[in-house]
Amino acid sequence: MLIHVAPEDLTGGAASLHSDGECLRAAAAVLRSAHGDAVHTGDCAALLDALSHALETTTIAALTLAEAAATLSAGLVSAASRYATADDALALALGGVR
Amino acid sequence: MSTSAVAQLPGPVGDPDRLLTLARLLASVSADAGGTSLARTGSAVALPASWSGVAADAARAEAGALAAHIRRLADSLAPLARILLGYAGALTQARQSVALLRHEWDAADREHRERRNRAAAAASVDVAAGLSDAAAADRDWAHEQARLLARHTRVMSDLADAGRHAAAAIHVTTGSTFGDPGSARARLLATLPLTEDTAASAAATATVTRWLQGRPAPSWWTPADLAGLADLDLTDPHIAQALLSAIGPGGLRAVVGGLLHRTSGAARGRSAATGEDGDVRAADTALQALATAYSAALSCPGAPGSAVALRAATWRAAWSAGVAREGREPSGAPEVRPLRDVHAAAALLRIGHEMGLSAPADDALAALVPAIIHAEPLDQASVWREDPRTDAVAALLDLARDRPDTAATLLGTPLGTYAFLDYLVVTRPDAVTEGPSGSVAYVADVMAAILPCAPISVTSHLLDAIATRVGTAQAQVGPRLSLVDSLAPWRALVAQLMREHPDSTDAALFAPASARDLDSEGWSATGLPRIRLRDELAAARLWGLIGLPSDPAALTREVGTASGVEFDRAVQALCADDLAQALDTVTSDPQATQAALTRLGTLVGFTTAATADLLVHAATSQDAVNGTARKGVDAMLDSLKVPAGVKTGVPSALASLALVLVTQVAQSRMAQLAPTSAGAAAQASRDQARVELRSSSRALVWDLISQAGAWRPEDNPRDWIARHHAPDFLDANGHPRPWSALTRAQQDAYAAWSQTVPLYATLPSYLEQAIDEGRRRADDLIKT
Repeated sequence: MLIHVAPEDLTGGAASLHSDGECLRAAAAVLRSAHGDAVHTGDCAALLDALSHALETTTIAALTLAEAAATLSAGLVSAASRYATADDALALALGGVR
Repeated sequence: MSTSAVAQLPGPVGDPDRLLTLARLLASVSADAGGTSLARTGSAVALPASWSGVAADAARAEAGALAAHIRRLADSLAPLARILLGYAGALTQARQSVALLRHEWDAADREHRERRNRAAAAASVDVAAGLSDAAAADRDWAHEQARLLARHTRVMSDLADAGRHAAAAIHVTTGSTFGDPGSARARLLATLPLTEDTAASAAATATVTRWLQGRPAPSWWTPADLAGLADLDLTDPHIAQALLSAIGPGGLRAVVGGLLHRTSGAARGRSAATGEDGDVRAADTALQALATAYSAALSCPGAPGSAVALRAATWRAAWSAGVAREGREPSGAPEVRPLRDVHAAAALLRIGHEMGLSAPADDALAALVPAIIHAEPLDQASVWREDPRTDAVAALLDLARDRPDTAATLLGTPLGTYAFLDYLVVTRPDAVTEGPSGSVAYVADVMAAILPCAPISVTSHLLDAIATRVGTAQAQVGPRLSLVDSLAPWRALVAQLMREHPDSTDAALFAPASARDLDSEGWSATGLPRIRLRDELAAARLWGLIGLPSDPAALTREVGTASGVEFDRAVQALCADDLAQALDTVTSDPQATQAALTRLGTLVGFTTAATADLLVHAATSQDAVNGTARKGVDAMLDSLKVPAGVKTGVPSALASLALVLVTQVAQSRMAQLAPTSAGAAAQASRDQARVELRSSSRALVWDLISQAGAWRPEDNPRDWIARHHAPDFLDANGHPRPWSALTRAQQDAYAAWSQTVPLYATLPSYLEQAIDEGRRRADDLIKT
C-alpha cells in the first residue's frame, strides 16, 4: 500500500511530536529536580513517602511518554523520507536491519 | 521569643514557602503537559488523516494512546499541586499557631516571674503572705504551661492529620494512574507497542553489542565464543534479530559453514574413531543455538496487523534484502565455491525443524526461492551438495508438508507466478539429481502430501506444470533421463486427481476457454473444488501420463497391473456421469442418451488416444537404449489389461473398450513409425481395428441398454426366446446378461433378438462416431 499523503504533512506531524516529546522531557527534568523539595513537607513520614513516590512515578511517566513521542516522530520522519514507497516505512524507521 | 518557649513548644519542620514553590512548579508542569499538541488534539495534529495503511493504523493507535497518557499525567499533577497547596496552608497555620502559643508562653512566664518578685517583696513585710503569693504564682504558671502544651499538641496533631490526609490523596491521585515507580514504565509501554518494541530492540542491541565486545569477526569465532551464545536468550526475537543484524548474512554464512564442516559425516566419523567427540558436540550445540536465533529472528510475533507484527515483517524484509545483496554469485569452480546463504539457511531450517522450533514466517521462506532456483542447478558439483542439511528444496518442502499457508505461499505466490512450482516440476528434473530432494519421486511425494490442504489453484497449476513437463520430456532427445524415469513418479498422483476431478477433462474438451482459468474458483458437480486444465493439450498429456507404467523396468519385462488399475479407475470416473445419464434416460429420452454417449465417446476416444501416444513415445525413446520398442509397447499394453476384480457388465465393457482403443492407437502409431508392410496388409489391419472398435462399442452400449431394460413389452426377450426356442441369454431379472459373459450361441441369439429393438441398432453408432471424434481431436494435437 502506498503512502497517499504529502511528505510535508508527515514531517509537520513529526515536528509536532518532537516538540511534545521535548516538552515532556523538560517536564521530567523539572519533576526530577523537585524530588529534593519533598523534604520540606516536614516530619510527616507518610506524606514525604507519598510525595516522593508520586514525583518519581510522574518523572518516569514523563520520560517514557517523551520516549514514545520521539519514537513516533522518528517514524514519521522516515515515512516522509520514503514517501510513495510503502507504508511500512514507519516500521522500518522503528527498527529494521541497521 | 524565649528559648524556653521554643524548647517547650517546638514548631513544624516543613517549609511552606518551598512547598508553595513546589506546588506552583507542579501546576506549571501540568499545564505544560496539558498544553502539548497530543494532549489537546489527540493524534489529529500529529498524523494526517490522508495517511492510510497498516503502518498508519499502528501509528495512529500509538499516538492516541500516547495522547491519553499525557492527559492523565497532566490531570494527575494538577491535583498533586492542589494537595500540596492545601498542606502548605495547614503547615503555615500550624506554624502561626505555634508562634502564638510561644508568645503566650513567654507572657505567662513573664507574669509568673513578676508575681514571684512581688511575692518576695511582700515576704519582707509578711513572710506568710509572701510565701502564699509565691505558691499561687507557681501554681498558676504550672496550670498555664499545661494548657499551652495541650494546645500545642492539638496544633501538631492537626498538622499530622493534614499530612496523612494529603498523603492519602496523593496515593489516590497518582497511584491509580501510573502505579508505583517500579512498574510505571512497563505499564505505559504495555499500551504503546511501537515504543515498547523499539525500546526492547534497543535494549537487545545493547546486550548483543556488549556480548560482541572483545570477540573477533564471526568467521574467527572460537569454540569458547560459540559456547558463549548460551549467554544470550536467542529465543527472544529482539535478541535474535540484534545478533543476526550485528553479524550480517555473511557472518552467519561463515559461522554456519564452519560448523557444518565440523559436524559433517566425515568429521563425526573421525571424532568417533578417536573417541574425542567433544568438538562435534560443541558444534552441534552452536548450530542449534543459531537455528534457534534464526527461527526467532524471522518469526512472526504479535497479532496479525499489529505494530509488533509489522515491525517484525519489516525486519524480515530487510534481512532478506541483505541476504540477496550479499548472496551474489560466489567466484570459483562450483566444487570449491563457498557455502551460499541459501545453504546456510537450509541447514538452520532443517536443524530447527528437527528441534521442533517454529518455522520462520512464510515471507522469509519465500524470499529464499529465487536464490534456490538460481543456485541449485549451478551447485550440483559443490561439496556442499554432499551434506543433506544444505538441501534448500528439502528444507522448504518439509516445512510446507503440514502447513497449507506455507505451501500456498511457496508454491503459488499471491501474485500468482507459481515460479517455484514450475521450477520443481518442469525444469529442475533436467538440472538437479543430487541430494535428498533431487529425485522426481521426492517432489511428487511432497506434493501429494501438500495438495489436500493447499488451495485448489495450486493443484491446477501443479497439473499444468506436470503437463508441461510431459511436453518437455517428449521433446528431449536422448535417453539420459527417460520419459518414464522423469514422469512415472507423478503418475499415481495425476491418476488420483483425474479420478477425483473428472470434470476437469470434461471442461478442457467441452467448456469455453474462458472457463479454464487456472486460478478461478468453483465447485464441481461432485462437491469438490474444481480444478482446471489449461487446454486439450494439457489434458492429453496428463492422460498419457496416467497410462505410463509405474516402473521403468516395465519396458523390458512383464509387469503387474498397478497402472492398469489406476488407468481403469480414472476412465470409469471420467465416464461415470455420462453412463449414469444414459442409463437414466435410455427408456424415456433417447436424445439425452444419444448426447451422453456422444460425450462419453469423445472423452474415451480422446483420452485413450492420448494415452497410447505417450506410451509409444516412451517406448520408442527407450528404443535408443535397448532396441525393444515394439516389445516395450506390448509390455506396456499388458500393464493396462483390464484388472482383475472389475465387475462384469458396463464397467467391464468400458474397461475393455478403453483397452481396445489404447491398443489400436498404439499399434497404429508403431505401424506408422516402423511400417512392416504396405497396401493390403495395412488395409486389413485397419479393417480389423474397425471391427474391434465396433464390437467393443456395441458391447458397452448393449450392456447399458440391457441393464436399463429399455425395450417395449412386445419386445420382451423371454417371450422371443420361447417363440424361437433360442438359447437363454437372460439373467434372473429377465434382462440380457453382459455380452462378455455369454457363450457364442447365446451371443448369436442375443444379436438376433436385438434386431427387433431399434435402440440396440442405433445407439452404438453414436458412440462409435464420438470415439472417432475424440481420437481425431487427440490426433490434431499430436500433429500440431
